[in-house]
Amino acid sequence: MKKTDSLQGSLDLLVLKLLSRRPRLHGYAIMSAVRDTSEEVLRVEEGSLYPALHRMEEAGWIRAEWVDKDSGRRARIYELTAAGRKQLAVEESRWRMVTSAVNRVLRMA
Amino acid sequence: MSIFSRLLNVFGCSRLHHDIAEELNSHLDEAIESGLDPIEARRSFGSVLRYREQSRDAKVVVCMDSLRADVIFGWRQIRKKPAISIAIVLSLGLAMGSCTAVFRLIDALLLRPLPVSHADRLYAMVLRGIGPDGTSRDSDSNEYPQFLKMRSAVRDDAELIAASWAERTDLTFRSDSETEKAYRQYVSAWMFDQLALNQRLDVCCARVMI
Repeated sequence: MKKTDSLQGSLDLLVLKLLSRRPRLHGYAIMSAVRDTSEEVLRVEEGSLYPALHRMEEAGWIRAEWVDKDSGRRARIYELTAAGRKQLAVEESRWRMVTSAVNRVLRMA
Repeated sequence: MSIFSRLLNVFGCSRLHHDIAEELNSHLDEAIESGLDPIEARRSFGSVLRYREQSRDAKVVVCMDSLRADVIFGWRQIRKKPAISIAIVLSLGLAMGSCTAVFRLIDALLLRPLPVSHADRLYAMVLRGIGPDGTSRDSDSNEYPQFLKMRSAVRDDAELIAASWAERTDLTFRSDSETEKAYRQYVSAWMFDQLALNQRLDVCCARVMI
C-alpha cells in the first residue's frame, strides 16, 4: 500500500501520546517512534513535525530544554506538561468520536 | 510560551534562528548516526530554511515581526538616499504642520464651544425693522429702557444680557506708573452668573452697580 500522509489532523495526538509514554524525546526520536510503532505505515515529515512541536510548545502542552550529547552537540528534548495531558485526553476523545463515526458509516453504507 | 516571550522573540531573531537551526542540525546528526547516508539524509530532510521559517512563525508575533522587518527595510532605504529622504521628511513635516495650524484655527473659531456655561443656548439677538429707505434692516442696538421692557417680557423663558461696544482704553493696575492698553466693554451685571464667568482668571472685570 502506498504510504501517504495519513496523519492530517492527528499529528498533535500522536506526539502527545508518545511523550506521555516516553518522556524526554527529541524530534528525531519522536519521528522514529511514530514510524517504528506504526510499523512504517505512518511517517512524519520533518517539515510537519518541527512546526508542530514548536506550536505545541507555544501552546504550553509540551516543554523543551537543551541537553548536551556525548558528541558535544546539543539536542532539544521535549516532555509533556500538565496542560498537555489534558489536551491529550481531549484529542483522544475526539479521535475516538471521529473513528467510531467513520466505522458506523463504513458498516451501514 | 506567553505572548510576552513571543514579543521578545521578535527582537531576538538571531538567537531564535540559531536555536532552530541548531535543533534541525541535531536532527540531521541523529539521522546520520542512525545509519542514514549523509547526502540522502539532507536530501530527504528538505529545505532547512523553509522549516526554520515555519518554526519561527510559531514562536513570534507574526504581525510585529513583519512590522519590524518593514521598519528595518525602510530605514535602510532612507540611508541609501539621504538627500531625498531629508527632502521628503521636511516636506511631510511642513505639510503636517500647516494642516495642524489650519485645524487649530478652525477648531478655535468654529468647532470648539465658547468657554461659557450653556454655550449651546447662547444667542445674539437683533431687531428687524424697516429703515428710512423702506428696506428691511437688522439692528443689534437698543435703548436701555426698551431692553429692560424686553427682559421683563421674556423673564420666564430667557435671560437677556446687554453689552456695549468694546472700546480700546488705557488702564492702570495698582499704580499710575504703568499704563496698559485694554478693551473696555459695559455688560449687564448678571452676565457673570449666567455665563459662569466668576472663576475665569483671564477675564478682568469690574462689577459696577448702577
